Amino acid sequence: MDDLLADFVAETREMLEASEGEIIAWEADPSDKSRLDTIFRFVHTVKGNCGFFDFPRLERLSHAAEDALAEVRAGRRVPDAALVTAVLAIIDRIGEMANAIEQGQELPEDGEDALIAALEVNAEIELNAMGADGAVDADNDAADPVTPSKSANNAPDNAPAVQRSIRLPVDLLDRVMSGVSDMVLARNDLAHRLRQAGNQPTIDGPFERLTTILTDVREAITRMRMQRIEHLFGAFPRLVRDLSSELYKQVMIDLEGGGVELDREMIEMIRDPLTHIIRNAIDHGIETPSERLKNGKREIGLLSIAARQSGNKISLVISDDGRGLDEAKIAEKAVANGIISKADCDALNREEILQLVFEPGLSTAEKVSSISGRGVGLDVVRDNLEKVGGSIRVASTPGKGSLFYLQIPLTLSIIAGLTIEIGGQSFALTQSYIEEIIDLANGNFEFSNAGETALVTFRGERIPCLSLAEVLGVEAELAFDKQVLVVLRMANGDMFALAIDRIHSHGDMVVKPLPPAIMATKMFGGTTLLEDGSPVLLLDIPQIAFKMGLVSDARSQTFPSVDAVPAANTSTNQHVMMFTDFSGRSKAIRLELVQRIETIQSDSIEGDDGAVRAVVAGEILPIIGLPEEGDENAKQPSGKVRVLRLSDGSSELLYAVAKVQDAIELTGDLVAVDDVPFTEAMTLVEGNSISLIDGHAIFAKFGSTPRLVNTLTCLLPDSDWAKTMLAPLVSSAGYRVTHSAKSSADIVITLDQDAPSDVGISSSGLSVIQLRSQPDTEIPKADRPHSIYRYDRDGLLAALRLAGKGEAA
Amino acid sequence: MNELLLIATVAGRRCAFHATSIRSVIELGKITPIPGTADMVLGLAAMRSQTLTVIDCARVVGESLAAQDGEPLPADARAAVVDVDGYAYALAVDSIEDIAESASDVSKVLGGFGKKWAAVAHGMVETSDGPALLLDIDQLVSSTTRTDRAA
Repeated sequence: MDDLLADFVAETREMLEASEGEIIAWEADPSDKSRLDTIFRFVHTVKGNCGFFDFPRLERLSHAAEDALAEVRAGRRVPDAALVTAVLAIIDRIGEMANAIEQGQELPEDGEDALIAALEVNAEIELNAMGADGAVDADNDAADPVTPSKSANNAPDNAPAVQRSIRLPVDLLDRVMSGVSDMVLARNDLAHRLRQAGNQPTIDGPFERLTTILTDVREAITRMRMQRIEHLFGAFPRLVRDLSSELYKQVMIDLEGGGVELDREMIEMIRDPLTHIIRNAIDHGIETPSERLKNGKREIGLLSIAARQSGNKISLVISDDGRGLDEAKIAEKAVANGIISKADCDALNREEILQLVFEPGLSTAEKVSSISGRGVGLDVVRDNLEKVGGSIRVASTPGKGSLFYLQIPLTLSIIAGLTIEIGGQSFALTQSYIEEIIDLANGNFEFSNAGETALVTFRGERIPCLSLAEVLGVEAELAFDKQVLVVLRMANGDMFALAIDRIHSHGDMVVKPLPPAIMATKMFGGTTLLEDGSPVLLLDIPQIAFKMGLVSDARSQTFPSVDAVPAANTSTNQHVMMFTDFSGRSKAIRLELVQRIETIQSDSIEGDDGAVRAVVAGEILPIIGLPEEGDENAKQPSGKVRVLRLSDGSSELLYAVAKVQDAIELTGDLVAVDDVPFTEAMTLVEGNSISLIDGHAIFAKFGSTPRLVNTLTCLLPDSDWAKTMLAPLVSSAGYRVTHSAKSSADIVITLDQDAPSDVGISSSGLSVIQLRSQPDTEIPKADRPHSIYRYDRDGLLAALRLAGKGEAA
Repeated sequence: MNELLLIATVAGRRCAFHATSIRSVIELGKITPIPGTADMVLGLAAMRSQTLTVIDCARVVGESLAAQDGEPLPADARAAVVDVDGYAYALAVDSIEDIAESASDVSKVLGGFGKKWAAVAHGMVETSDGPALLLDIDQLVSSTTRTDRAA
């Protein structure tokens, strides 16, 4: 069932349960005003929700009850037993209908008119017929107009087992959740101790089981509270569409990071603030299409919302490419509205003035529109966010757009992280920030300095490079050129590289908040325990970037402008990965093909010439690029081998290289070569000629065949030979195998059948392939074409292909 | 009167904590240093899968006896584990003597205890083994952030 609907039913039922006591008390004393109010609120809420969900009958009922109760509240009507009964009957009916809705049934048939009629003042006569005091005794009186209440009482009992939901206090969930995270930590501790104690089968078994259970429970618990932020994002495209058409603007919305999970409660808390910021952006930020064209922008404005998780915080960046905030106007307004004195205002820098938009009573819009601009807004947004421990900041470039940077806390979370080492100490990094990891010892990267800032060239862009050792004020163990660079991408799209000593491992981490004394460093977002029980600090990347001045105000990089994207695609410059092969030659391969760079053990490579395979990450893949045996010039690989994992989208293969160099952009002309196998072209890179590997050719030759989408079925003889020898061959050729004559098959393979028929398509459209046990030399020449020797692999495969083609045609 | 106190030595002086606020006393093992914090914050330690922030009490009162700069803590360094505002801290002290009963109310001393001591002390209490300075755990912990701001 729809989430919203389930919520509605749950809420209705909950209110029903809560108001039951009130209803009975009201029945005992109809003049009790406070009881009346409770019941009135209930029907009123139901009425409101019904209108929203389009349940006209439910709405009519609750509306009638509301009307009658409103009369009583206004003192125009005296509550009597008849009215009480009628209202109660309606409330029962609402409960009944809620059950029906939950089970997806039609609402129970009519009787509503009678119920509503019973509410009328002149309905007394009718009701009097039912009993002396008009007490709810409907169950005993079948002729009574309020009988539907009978079925209402029974309905829940008959309810089939639908997925029921219960509501729990958030506190309780919190407690369970922190209990489970502590259990995970305790388990890790125990795991460490068990490892120290050595193998103990009697303990290891149950411990494994405990681990599995704990993983399950943890996942369930996490899901209990978490919701993907998509749920919140889902409503935005519509909101943007409606607003922009109302304001005669064209706005495109770009949502990123929908997979970030957030506490359900937190999602509710940020719904209004986000909506408000979006409204503001469209109303004030983004210009009309004509104005945009005049300013040299695309007619369509861009609004982008990106969510990232970082430690126990979620960062949300909402940016638009509109006219930006007008600093002078904000300052002027702030002074005029008495928010700040002129002298104070003059002392502020642009950044600080911009933050004044969050002060109460400031609106820079000249006209008050129906959408926003009444000066109640951003202050409320900030208050609401601060209430939940979040923060908001605005940055803006005049004419270019503005950027709202929100941070919302997660009290406790489990994140995917990476442990790294610098200066002999371990730290953790949130994995979602990591764009790429570059081993400096393994390739030459272009570094340059702009003033004091070190820059590294990464995929053709110069990005700032920070030394984590410097940031933290510790001593790095390795020289810079031996370090590892972690390229990080911030929520707003800015990138920077962080130089660290080495990478340890990655895994799930339970992040716990840090005490204020450590938070004050503004470098750490939380702490987590490693498997060996030692605590590590989680680096707060946004804070570090902000502290080092790496967060740009210009939102130009938040998403590449739409114009730029097709331009990049049509550009003739191609990105390639440069590497050195085992003969010491530099070669290049298109970057798009390179999936990953892996390191494998040389003993995991096996096979004889032509069909060498290697095991990587539990998969067996063909491997090429290895030096030929006996090649004197080539350096034979030993120990660890670097391989490029290539993929054409459906199949994968490995390319062994001696050394990975760098990813570069090809600028020189490509000179096609025909005579060198597997080489597409030659080109010049920094004056040296480099051969570009022909991806098409290597995949054509070595790529493992992707499975046919529409697999053909082969019916094989029901013999041991067919099962053990033939079936694997046929299925590895990409055909489904069956032995049962009853199942439908596209191709039939027979063995030593007496009645010889032609290889190929039989009259029924079924392809039949005949196999025989005698080799070609042992049978008359004339009989040979009719059947295939059963160990003639090539012949069989050719026949299968032929049959398959006939099928496809 | 007759309150249970944990008697410890901080920077060579006899001090006391309210025993009821102490969760446990642990031997500090490996401490993970935290770059960028005030030097009275020694780092993080783990206790039964819980992370503790280790505060060097001696440094809070301006002395540095529990651990000299750069020197590791003695292997048997002890700390009192306390909870403040939902966070667990380990207060590293020179040594922990015993649990004692207070024999007097908390009292002030003419001339005070010295500025830094006074900031973190409730006052003086008498025990059967002599007087001790009763330390205020909340103040001890919050002094770590205060100094940071001043710096």
